[in-house]
Amino acid sequence: MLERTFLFFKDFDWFIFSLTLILAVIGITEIYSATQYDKSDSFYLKQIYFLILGLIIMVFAVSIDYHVFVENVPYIYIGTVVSLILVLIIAPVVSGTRGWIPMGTFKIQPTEFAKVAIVLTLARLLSESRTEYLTFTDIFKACLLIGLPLGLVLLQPDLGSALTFFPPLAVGLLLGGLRRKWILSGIVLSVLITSLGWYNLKPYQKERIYTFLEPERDPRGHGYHAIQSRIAVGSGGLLGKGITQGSQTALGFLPERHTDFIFSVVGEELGFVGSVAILGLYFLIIMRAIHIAQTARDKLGIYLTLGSISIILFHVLVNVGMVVGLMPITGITLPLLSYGGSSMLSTFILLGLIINVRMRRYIY
Amino acid sequence: MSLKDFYENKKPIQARIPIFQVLAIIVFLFLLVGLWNLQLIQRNYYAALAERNRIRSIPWIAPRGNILDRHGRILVDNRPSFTLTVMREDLSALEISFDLLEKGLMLEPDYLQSQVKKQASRPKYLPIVLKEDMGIEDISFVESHRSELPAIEVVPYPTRNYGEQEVAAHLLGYVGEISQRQLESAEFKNYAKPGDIVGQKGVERAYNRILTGVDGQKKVLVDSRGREIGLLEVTEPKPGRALRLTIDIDIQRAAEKAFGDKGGAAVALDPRTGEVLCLLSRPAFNPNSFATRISGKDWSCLLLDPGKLLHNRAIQSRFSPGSVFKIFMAVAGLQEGILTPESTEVCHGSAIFYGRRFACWKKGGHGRVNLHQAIIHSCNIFFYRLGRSLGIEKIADYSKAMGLGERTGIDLLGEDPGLIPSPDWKKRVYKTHWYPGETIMVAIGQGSLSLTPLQLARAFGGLALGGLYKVPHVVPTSELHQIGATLPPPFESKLILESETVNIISRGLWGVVNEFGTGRRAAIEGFDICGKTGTAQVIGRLARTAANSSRKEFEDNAWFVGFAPRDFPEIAVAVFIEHGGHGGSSAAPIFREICQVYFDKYKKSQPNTQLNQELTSPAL
Repeated sequence: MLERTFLFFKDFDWFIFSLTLILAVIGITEIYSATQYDKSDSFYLKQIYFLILGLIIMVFAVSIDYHVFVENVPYIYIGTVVSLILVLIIAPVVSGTRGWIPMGTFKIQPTEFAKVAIVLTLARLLSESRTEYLTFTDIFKACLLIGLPLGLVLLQPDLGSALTFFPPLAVGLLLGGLRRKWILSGIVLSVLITSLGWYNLKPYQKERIYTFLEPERDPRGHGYHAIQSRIAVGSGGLLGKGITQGSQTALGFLPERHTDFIFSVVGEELGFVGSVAILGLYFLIIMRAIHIAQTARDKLGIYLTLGSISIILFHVLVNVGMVVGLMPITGITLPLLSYGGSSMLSTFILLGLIINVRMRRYIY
Repeated sequence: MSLKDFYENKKPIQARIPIFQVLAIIVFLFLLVGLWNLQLIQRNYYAALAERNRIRSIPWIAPRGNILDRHGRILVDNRPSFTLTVMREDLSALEISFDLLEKGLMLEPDYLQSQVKKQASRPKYLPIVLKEDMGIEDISFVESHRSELPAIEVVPYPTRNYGEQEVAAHLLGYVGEISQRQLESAEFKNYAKPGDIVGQKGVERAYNRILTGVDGQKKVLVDSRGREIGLLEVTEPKPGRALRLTIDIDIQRAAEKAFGDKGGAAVALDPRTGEVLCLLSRPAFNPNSFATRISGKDWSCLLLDPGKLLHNRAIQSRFSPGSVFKIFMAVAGLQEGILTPESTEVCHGSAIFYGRRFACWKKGGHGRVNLHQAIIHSCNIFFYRLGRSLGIEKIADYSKAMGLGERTGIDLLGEDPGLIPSPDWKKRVYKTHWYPGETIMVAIGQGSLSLTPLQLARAFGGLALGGLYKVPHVVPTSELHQIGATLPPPFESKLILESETVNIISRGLWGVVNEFGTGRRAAIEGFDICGKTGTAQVIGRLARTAANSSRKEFEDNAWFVGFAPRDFPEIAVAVFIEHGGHGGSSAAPIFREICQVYFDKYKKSQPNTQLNQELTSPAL
């Protein structure tokens, strides 16, 4: 027992863990700053609870051998699908979409946890493939397994979260090996789906895409977020206005400033230097995770690590891209920084899985 | 499936991992470029936007200067009022609350939308005025619904208050928002900005620059919903300078009251200085109705009014002076030497000139009259003959030499020059030659001859003073000096009046009032009033009979012009009553009323005071 505990501490990835903790603490600080005038709730305090809860769940995700999780994938997958159906039935509609199941004073967003299930499911499916390149059956199965929860999330509707299901799929297929014809037909298919999907987009979704391309066309409406966010980040300059000093933030020009747009607050208050430093922390975590994948004991470990980190990378890309005006506005959080329990917990589980893979790289 | 299955065949997969390192680097470089562009390259642009985001400048309108009468009594001041405005960029945030606002302010539905549309062409930076002159209920409604009405401002807006209502309306004028044409004109260029309330008529217009203050502003910190959350900076407005006039409001009020519902004009001035004591035009309007952005309905009422309500008849309209003009004829005759006090003519009630019969107003005729009697009884025949002897050229020359037919240079805008007809003029304008019969008509102040009431008051005063024609002005010279304004140079008459001429004329005018002449109703005991009646035809008598009409618009215009006291004139007055009938019966009593107030105030109780000491420059 003592030896196991020692090994745990020795092989535990303190590097990723400490970077994660630093980001979470920065997140809490900025949430405090962003909501300093909002007397209705103490978001930063709640985020501290979420962090503690996240750490506990991380320990759980690290302690149990990842193979055990994978063995239980069928139950996890079914549980996820059921919870996503449940959302559609019992979750109240908030601003046109339902994604949150109220649980006492908190709300749970099952979509966040569905991401973990997707990573586990794909890892199991693809690592079972024996060939150098994936077969059509493999690809079809993978798409089918993703398709069901994806469809359920789209029914909420939550396009942004649904998109986060694609990176693990793409990463998994790329890793598993795609023949050129599959890549080509994939491109053709995605073009087809995109053009078909365009006609099925709701007007507000189309409007969002238009206003992404040109936010000034509707500065008070859909373009408002984009413009205000760019004003916040741009006015931060090199060194920023200082924590709690951001006028855009404090005066409430930034919408969703403690959740989706927390990075605008970072940009305004910490400036270019602070923003780049925080991006650097994410970068280090991601490069470290890729390194862990390279040293993983088996295919499953590789799929798990890269699938998990692909979700985090996608979140960072889309969220920060949206904040600086390079990406359209989607309701995607910035892992570890954005306020929100479900996002925090799912991120900690994903990072826990990565550490899990690293810890067990030598053990047979 | 056993765990073992997971371990096999990981080599090809491992080989594909570096793709993701490259991908991750690309993603982060992409984001880095975005941040670089926003925070380093475009920093200033966004910093300015952030600054503008949180600061709202609310204009703080400077009150216009008060307008006072000669004794410092307030004629025009400002009353506090509140205007509901919204900045254009905040409009869309407010539009959803228009229904609520319309209900709360008890406005018609869609009223606000129409206001916004109306102001669409105004410059972007000007706030949109939603409601002016809010009542206390309106203000409390807005204040209690602040959270639902973002970005709305209740701005104190000093509103012009004309305490005298219709009294002196034309003289004081009114204010209104500057028009695009005015903005481009030299008059307002460089100091007025769009949206300003400027003087549009009268003293308000002529002295707009003096009365206008410097607007201040309030810079406030606002949150994203447009709510004020802090005060950053206040620039207090600088009120406009108060302006004292030469007007004596007591005289003005009395004159307006004496007019009753009659139309016309009256001017009283001090001939020694040119200071205007009262100046009125009837019918009058209430300038208060212009103080707020007047509603479309009221406007068209005023503009379509057949009585030309906004026209200042004292200076902007010209009328035939009728028999009043006989005085200038007499002067010309005396100066020319073709007339002496002893010259007599016989009046049989009519006479034939150039083959046409011209009548005297007294059917039976005046018999033999000398100059003095001709003036007192206003005998037409006497002056017809004098006119024939003088000829139109001489009449015109002498008239012009006494300041008639030319602008007096009063410090108000839009003065009419009047008209002294001459053969040259007729050739120029009508391309026909002068008929000798026209000279006969001009001799009794009829025909094309037309003058303003102001000109006549000035000419009579000037005559009484032996040829001193001061520039009439409504702002005292001491005040003008302080504001750095000057009057045009006074009218220099080439005519050197002989004191004998002045004496004869003065005596004649005195006789009109005090020797049972046509103007006896103007008499005041103890105040030697001199004056001349005038009754000017609007339409020829024959035509009038033909029209068989007693319609008001065909009624004669009535005049009474004069001065007092006879030997040391202090006040010259012209009273004109449109369609008033006979000068002696309708104009003379009003003249008397004006002089009575002056006499009571400045002569009777304090015989030594001559107006206000400070204002009076040493006369003569």
